[in-house]
Amino acid sequence: MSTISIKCPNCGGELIFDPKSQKYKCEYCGSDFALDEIKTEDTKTQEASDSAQTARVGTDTGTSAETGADASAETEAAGEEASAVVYTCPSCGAQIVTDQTTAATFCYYCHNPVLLSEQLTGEFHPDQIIPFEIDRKQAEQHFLDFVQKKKFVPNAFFQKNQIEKLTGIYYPYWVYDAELDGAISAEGSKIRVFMSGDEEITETRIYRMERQGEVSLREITKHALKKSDRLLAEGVLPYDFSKAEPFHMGYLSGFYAEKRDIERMELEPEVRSEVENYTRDLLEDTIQGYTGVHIISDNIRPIQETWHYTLLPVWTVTYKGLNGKMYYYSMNGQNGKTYGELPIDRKKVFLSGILIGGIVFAIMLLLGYFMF
Amino acid sequence: MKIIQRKTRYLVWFAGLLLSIVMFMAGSLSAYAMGRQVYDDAGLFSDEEVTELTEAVDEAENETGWDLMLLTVDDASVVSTQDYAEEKFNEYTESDDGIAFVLDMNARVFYIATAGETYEYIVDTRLNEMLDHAMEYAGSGDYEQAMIAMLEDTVTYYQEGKPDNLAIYDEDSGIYYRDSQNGGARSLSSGDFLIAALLGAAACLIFCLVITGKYRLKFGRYHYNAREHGTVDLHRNEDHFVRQFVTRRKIPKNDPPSKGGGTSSVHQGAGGRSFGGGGRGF
Repeated sequence: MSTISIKCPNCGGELIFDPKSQKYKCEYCGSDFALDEIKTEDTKTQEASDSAQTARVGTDTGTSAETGADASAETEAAGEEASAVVYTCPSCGAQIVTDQTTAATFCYYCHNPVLLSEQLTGEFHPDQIIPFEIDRKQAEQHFLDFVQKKKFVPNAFFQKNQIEKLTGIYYPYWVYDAELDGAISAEGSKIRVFMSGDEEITETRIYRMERQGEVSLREITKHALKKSDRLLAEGVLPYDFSKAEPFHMGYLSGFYAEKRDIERMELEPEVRSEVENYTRDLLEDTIQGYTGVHIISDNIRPIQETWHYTLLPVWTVTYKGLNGKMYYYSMNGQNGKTYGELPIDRKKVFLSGILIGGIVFAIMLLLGYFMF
Repeated sequence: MKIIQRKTRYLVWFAGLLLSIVMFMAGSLSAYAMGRQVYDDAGLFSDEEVTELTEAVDEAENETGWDLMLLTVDDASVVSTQDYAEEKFNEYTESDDGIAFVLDMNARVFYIATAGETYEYIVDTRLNEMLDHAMEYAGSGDYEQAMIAMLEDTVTYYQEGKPDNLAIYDEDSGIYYRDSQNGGARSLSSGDFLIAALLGAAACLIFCLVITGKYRLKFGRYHYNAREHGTVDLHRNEDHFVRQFVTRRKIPKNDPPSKGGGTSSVHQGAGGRSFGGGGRGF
């Protein structure tokens, strides 16, 4: 299986994608290049690295990086699920052990970015990618800002030096667009109340509403990697898909990347049910001016569906709390939205609750005193 | 010289004595004028009846401690019986608690203006009862008995005390007060404290649960916004009338729900003072 490292046309050093300038930067000579400037170089280096050796090894022997026929035999014994993949670093020739889903990583020895191009070819070639817009420094700041805004975490719980690991990863997602033909029949009423002499007359007129039309739904996003936590992976949504680009391996340079291991067939029942509900809601929204609207029947069918295999930028933060517990966070690599479980200072929450309860108590007493 | 001085001294004493008597008399006259309780400007009552009414008012005043006055008027220039009653009562006293009973022969209206604590006793339902009693006599032209009936009712209601569920309804602001007039002493019952404490505890609990839930990712997750990411192109948009039904409800006459038995309606009347009361034509 081939590996890629994108080389600087000037000095031959490794190029990495810089989210700030949206260009490729050489850390050795300081040059930077636009995407179209390095395309040809990419192809050349890819050819040069095609001699890379690939083998499968059991996870228990993964770090020993065994190669060749022996390793393959062990892999078969351990089974497909528990296997790792070995690559050769195109820069230093060292062997790199990764998961089956890893598509971009770093060499453990020379720390150069390594792109595992064959992981993202053929059916696994992503349709689009949203490049990172937030670099490591900004990500760290976004994370600290996120934590500092939270008033009920224990004092001094979060400190910059407690950030154990901050990793930029392109996670795989399925982005679903659909055109649906939907029809609903609903019943609702219009109520008119008027006085006649000493009588109050309530006139209720029942109507049946028919709505039929084409509903277009865009950018329903589902994570496509089993080993990532679904809550964390979907907690960073939504992304601005107007900034999505056609996929190019170069965007991965300098980041980790994973390929999908959840196929769209697995998601289809869930997504179809969701879009039916959204379609029903959107059609119901067109019914205005009635009270007690309820749907009697509906008929919704997809006309056209498009699944885009997409890589989205996520910063993952591993943080060791002062209590020794590890906390995991994910951050949208485009806008900095951070998501993850936070420790709670129970005393702070309780005291604030008492304060709010006291205010409500006082307001209720004042209302009772003056209004009734 | 001494004789002249003595005469002068006697003269000063005499003058002083005379002045004191005059002032005393003037004061008595003024006091009499201030204390007059029956004004029969419409000339409905004989002198004897005026005396009887004055005695009845005295008796009721002694019993209640309020200032009470009876007025009759037959003057086309009186536009509003209510304003007339309140202005007359203000002329009578601007601070004391009391009631003015007015019989307007021109408008053919009985009006009762209540001031001070009296409207805590003469609440809307009692006022209507008083007017009912007065109407029984006024209908047959016995205005003296009508007045006496109202005075008797006043004493009865004073003796019965304020209603338990008293509420003062300010017609100008639309606000209900409890137990007393605007700016007066209000109070909160133990039930009020209990309800406020329960709501406070509920607010505290909800706050703690919401914060804990949010920090532990129980809610606040991302949800796809179909209204933002979706569009609808309607091909069929039809509304059909199916059926209709009508329900009728009789509205109770003199008992609007917001004015229960213990409610006294008040407004800012003559002289900026709060007045209660009401009237009825006959």
